[in-house]
Amino acid sequence: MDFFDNIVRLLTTEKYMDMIYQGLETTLTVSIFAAILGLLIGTVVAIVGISGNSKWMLLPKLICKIYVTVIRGTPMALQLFIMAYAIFAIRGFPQEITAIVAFGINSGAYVSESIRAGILSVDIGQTEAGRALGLSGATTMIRIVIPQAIKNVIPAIGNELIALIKETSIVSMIGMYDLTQAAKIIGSGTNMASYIVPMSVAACFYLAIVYILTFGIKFIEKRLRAGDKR
Amino acid sequence: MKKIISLILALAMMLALAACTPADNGDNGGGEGGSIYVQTNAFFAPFEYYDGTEIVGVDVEIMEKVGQKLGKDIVWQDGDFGIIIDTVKVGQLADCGAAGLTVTDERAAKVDFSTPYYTSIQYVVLPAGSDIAKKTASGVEYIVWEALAGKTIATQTDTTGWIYTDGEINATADNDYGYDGVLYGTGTTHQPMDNADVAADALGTTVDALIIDELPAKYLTSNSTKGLTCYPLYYSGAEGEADSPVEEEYAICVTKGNTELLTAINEVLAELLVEDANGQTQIEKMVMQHMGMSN
Repeated sequence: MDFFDNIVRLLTTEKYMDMIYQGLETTLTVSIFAAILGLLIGTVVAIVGISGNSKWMLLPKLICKIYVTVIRGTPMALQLFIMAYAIFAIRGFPQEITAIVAFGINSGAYVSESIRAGILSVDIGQTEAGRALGLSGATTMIRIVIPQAIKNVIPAIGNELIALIKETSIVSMIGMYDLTQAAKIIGSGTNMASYIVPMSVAACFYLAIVYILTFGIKFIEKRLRAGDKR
Repeated sequence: MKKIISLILALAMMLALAACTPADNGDNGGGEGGSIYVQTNAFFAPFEYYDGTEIVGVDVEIMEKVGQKLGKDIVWQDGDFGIIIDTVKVGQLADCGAAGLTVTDERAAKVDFSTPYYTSIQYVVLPAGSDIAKKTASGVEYIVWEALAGKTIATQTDTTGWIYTDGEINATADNDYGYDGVLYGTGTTHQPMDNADVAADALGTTVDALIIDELPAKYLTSNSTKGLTCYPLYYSGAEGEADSPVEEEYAICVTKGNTELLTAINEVLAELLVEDANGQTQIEKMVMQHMGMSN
C-alpha cells in the first residue's frame, strides 16, 4: 500500500519528524497559554455576568455582554487576522503572543458561558440556606455555590479546551509554524508532494493530545464526584 | 464585597484589552543596521519554500543580497498570499514583498514594483489519462483556453492563474470586466484552492486541470508519483495569427516611496540579470539550482 509506505517514510525521515516536533511545540504552547488566559477571562466575565443589578455593575455587565456576543458571533479566523494584522501589527512582535491573546480572548467568551451556567445550576436554596445561617454573600458563593458549580462545569470546560486545541490549526494562516503548517510543508511539492499522508500523521498527534487531555479531565471529574451518591 | 471584587476584575480586563493598542516603533527600513521585513507566502517553489523550518528559494537569495548591500538583516514573514500587497502597501508590518509577484495594474497602483526578474508562462497541470485536447506548433505542445471549456479548473486563490481563470470565465463586454472571456457561458467551473499542493491532490478526482505558473507546475509534475503532466497555456490567435502563450513577469514589491530599498533591489537585480558566456543569467541558474536541475 502506497499510503502506508509513505507514512513509514514520513515517520522514519528525521527531517520530517523534526518539522512535526517543531510544529507540535507551537501548537502546545499556543493551546496551553490560550487555555489559561481563556479560563481567567471566562471566570471574570462569568462572575460579572451573574452579579447583582447595582448601578456600579451596569457598565461592566454591558461590556461583558458585548464581548461575549461579538466574540462568539464572529469567525475565529477573522479575529486572528485582526489581531495579527491590525492590533499587533508591530514589527518583530512574537507571533506566539498574538495567537495566544487571540485564542485566549475567543476561548474566554465560551468558557464564561459554561461557568455562568454552572453557577446558575446550583439551586437557589443553597444560597438561601447559606445566607439564613448567617454567612456573607461572598462566603456563601466561595464555600457553598462554587464547589458545587465546579463539578457541573468541568465537562463543558473540557469540551471547550478540546475545541481550542484543534482550532489552533488555523494559525498557519498568519504563517506560524504549527502542527498543521508542518504537515502542509511536508505535503508540499518540495517534500512528499502529497497532502493526505502528513495530514493524517498530524491528525494522529492532535488525537493523542486530545486523548491525554480527556484522560486528565475524566480523572479530575471522578475525584470531584467521589462524594456523590449516584 | 462580591460586587467590588467583580468591579475590580472587570476593570482589570478592560485595561488589559486597552493595552493592546497598536504601537509603531518607527523602523521603516531607514538607517544603518536595522532590519528589512519581507512578506511572503512560502509555498511557491522554487522562489520560496520551506526547507525544514527555514524559508529558502530564489527570492530569498535575491533579498539576502539586497540585505548585504544595505548592511541590514532580512526578516521573513510568512502568511497568506492574498495579504502581501495590502501589508506592503500599509508598510507597518513589511517593507517589501517577495513571492513571485506578477506585475498587474491593480497591484502597481498600491505598491512600487522593482524591475521584473523572471518571465513565466501559465501552465496547465493535468492528471494522468486526461482527455483535454493539446495542440502542437513548432514542436511545442500546448493547451488553448477553449480546450478547457466545461471542465473544472483549480487555481491557487489570488495568484495570476486565479485572476486569468476568473476573467476568462466571468468576463463579458457588459459587466465590469469590459471584455469577452474565452470560457464565458461554457459551463466551466472555477475551483480556487488554498494552495497548489491541495489542488494537485485533487487532480483527477474533483478537478480536471490546475492552472499555475510554469516553474511550480514543473516542480509539481517532476515530484509527483501520480503521473501528472503539464503543458503551457495559450490564447488562440485570431484568424491567420499564431497562438500566443499566457505570459507574466515577476517582480518584488516595495512600499510606495521607499526609494532607498527599491534602488538597492533594482541594483541587485541588474547584477543578477547579466548574462554569462552561455547566455544564462544568475537568476536562471538559481532557479535551476532550487529545482534540483543544476549540473
